[in-house]
Amino acid sequence: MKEISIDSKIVMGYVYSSLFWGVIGLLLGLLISVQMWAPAFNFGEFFTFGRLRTVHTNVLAYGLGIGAEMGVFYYIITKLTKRSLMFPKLAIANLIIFNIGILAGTITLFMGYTQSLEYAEFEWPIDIGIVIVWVLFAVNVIGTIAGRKEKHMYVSLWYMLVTVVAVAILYIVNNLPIIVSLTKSYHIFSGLNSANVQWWYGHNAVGFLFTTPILAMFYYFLPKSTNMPIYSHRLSIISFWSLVFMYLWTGAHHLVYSPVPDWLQTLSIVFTILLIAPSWGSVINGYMTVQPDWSKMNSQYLTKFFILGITFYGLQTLQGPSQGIRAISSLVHFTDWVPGHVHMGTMGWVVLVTTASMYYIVTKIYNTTIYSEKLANIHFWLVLVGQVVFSITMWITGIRQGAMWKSYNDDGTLMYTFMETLVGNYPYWQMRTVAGAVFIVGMLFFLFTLIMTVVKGKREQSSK
Amino acid sequence: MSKDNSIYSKIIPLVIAMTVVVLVGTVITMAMPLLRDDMHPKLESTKEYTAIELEGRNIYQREGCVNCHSQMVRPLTADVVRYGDYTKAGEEFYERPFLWGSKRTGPDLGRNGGKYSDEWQIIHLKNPQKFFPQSNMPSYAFLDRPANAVDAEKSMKSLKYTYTQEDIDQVANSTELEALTAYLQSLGSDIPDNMYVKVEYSDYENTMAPMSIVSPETKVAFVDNCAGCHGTEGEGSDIAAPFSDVIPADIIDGNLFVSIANGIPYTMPSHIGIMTKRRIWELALYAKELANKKRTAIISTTNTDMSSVDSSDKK
Repeated sequence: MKEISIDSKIVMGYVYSSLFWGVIGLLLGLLISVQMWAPAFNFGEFFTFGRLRTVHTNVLAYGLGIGAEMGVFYYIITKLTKRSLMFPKLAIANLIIFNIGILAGTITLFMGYTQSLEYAEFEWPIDIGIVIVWVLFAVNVIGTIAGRKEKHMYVSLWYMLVTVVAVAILYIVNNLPIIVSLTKSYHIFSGLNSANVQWWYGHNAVGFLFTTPILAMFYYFLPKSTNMPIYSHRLSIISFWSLVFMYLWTGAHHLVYSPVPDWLQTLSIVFTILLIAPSWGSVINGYMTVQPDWSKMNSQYLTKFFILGITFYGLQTLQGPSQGIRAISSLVHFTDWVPGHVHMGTMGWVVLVTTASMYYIVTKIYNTTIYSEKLANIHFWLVLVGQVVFSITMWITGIRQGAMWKSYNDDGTLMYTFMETLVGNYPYWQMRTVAGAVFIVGMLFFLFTLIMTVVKGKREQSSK
Repeated sequence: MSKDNSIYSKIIPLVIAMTVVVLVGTVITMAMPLLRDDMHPKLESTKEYTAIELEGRNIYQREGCVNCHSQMVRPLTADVVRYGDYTKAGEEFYERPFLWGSKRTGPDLGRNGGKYSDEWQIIHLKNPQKFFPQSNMPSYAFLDRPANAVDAEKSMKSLKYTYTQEDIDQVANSTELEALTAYLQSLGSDIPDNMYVKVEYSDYENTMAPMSIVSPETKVAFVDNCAGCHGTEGEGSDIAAPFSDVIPADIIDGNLFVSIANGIPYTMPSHIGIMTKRRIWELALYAKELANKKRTAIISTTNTDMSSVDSSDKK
């Protein structure tokens, strides 16, 4: 039996790690979706919505998201640089530290140790762990690329490098603490600056954890799995630089109608609208790549994951900027519209592209074919339908509640009490739970198919 | 190939270029504002948190209340009518971190201070469904345990806030529910008298006085909005006395209307934002009717003559 290479083992380590955290994060998501309409499902101190929501977002963003990204990046890097990882032992140490960090972070969030900054809730000792993980990761990424055997760097590598640089800056600045004890700290920034720095971080965490890394995967795996070259190298260059330039200006669109000065809000809204162009640059590049032969959607099972993925990215990057506009923000801000928006990006764009990338990687590493294309297709459809129904119910009820909050009686008083606007959410929230369950079943199909592909590959190699 | 001499084949210049590009927006929209005066104004009335308020705020953070409750009233009519005056930049001076939130699964709490009594807050935290049967808020009965004075003192020290030993003792002698309530009652009070909409005496005198019928919808509104404290028949509860004790038979209807509309600080919330004046007027009449009915019942047990009470039912 031929052993797989050390690089492949490292990649698979990250894949398994991300699957583990993914299952935990998704099941917690399902539980808190039930808590939204059935408060009896809050179980004592450690299982109340207030704490679990934070565990849900962090386990999925960091445990699943970053874990998967690091693994997939290591795979892509070795291919694009035509060499093995510069520091394989470091990558293994990194994986171990990463998992200890996420485990510790998850436990502390259950215990209520939180900085109350969205997507930066981990308290400062965990932050130090995360920064160490990121530095080790950066050393390997930059080191391996620096020692590459292919002179030219493909666009996926640019997206990886900018991810490494930007996340480091964002994470360190926003997590600067005034330390009280091992388990408690306060934001070093106060008031308006606390809000402005947090959303500069929060928005760009989305940009550099859920956009640039996934684009790196997209630009690599779409041509690989369709056997068609990227449509336009020039469009890749323009999209890349304008995207990474504009993203950093847009954080304050989360603070529309807040006490943050109007010039900051307006500036961020302007750049938010401009951001549509580079986002759609990649969307068009993706579509035009498949344009010569759309039958690939049918004949090559991974194509539809990437094309639907980039479609949700395109919708996401139209919807997001629209929400930044004051008139629309005044209706949908603070409502379920916003979680609906976030989940289209994560469950549509991120999950479709990442899971398809993993299928591709596993079949290559074990030099085999997928265990069952049929099961992969079932995974695709369940995840697609689950996500679409999830997002749409959230958008409907977001507009519904937002409009009720703004309804007036003839004498200028408000038509509805808060409770009257809330109870109308319940049927939609129940539908969301159903949609989430469909999505999770789809993800279980993915898990099964992926693992069976590994089993199949191992069996084939041992019989050779 | 000329391409091979481009920036895409030199890693160090490429990473430097990326860093610079990422830093432009960062410096202008994040770093520069740190130095600007308009980013850290302070109202004269904005004060440091007291020890018990800060301990309450720590608990608010720990329980993730910010995941469902915003603390930012926007300068929009619908927001200020419902919650009170919009959030001012100068009120945020001591907020570390800011707790504006991004989702209102529950109502905004930016002007929560003084809307209800301390007692109401504690009972509501323990059992939200007692007042709002359809509420989805979890029970926080587990906070009925001693607050941590040692942590509170450490927090006060770290933030360099002034405090006395009595302040710390107060935390030591409080439950977490009481500390959280102290924090909730402090919210928004930098702007005193902050309800945006209020009624005046003339409102009822000119337009409502002739009306005396209580509609079935109003009785439903009574169950939804009033019965939690006052009981479905106005019989009262552990936090509100019966109507028959607090609403005298000869009360001026307009006074009752104004109390319900504008609320009574630290006792009863204002209602004028969230229902019509007509509805509030009817609620006032209905409350009076329930008070009189109770009195009648008391009288009837000692006196079988009902006729004198019937006439006082109507104005």
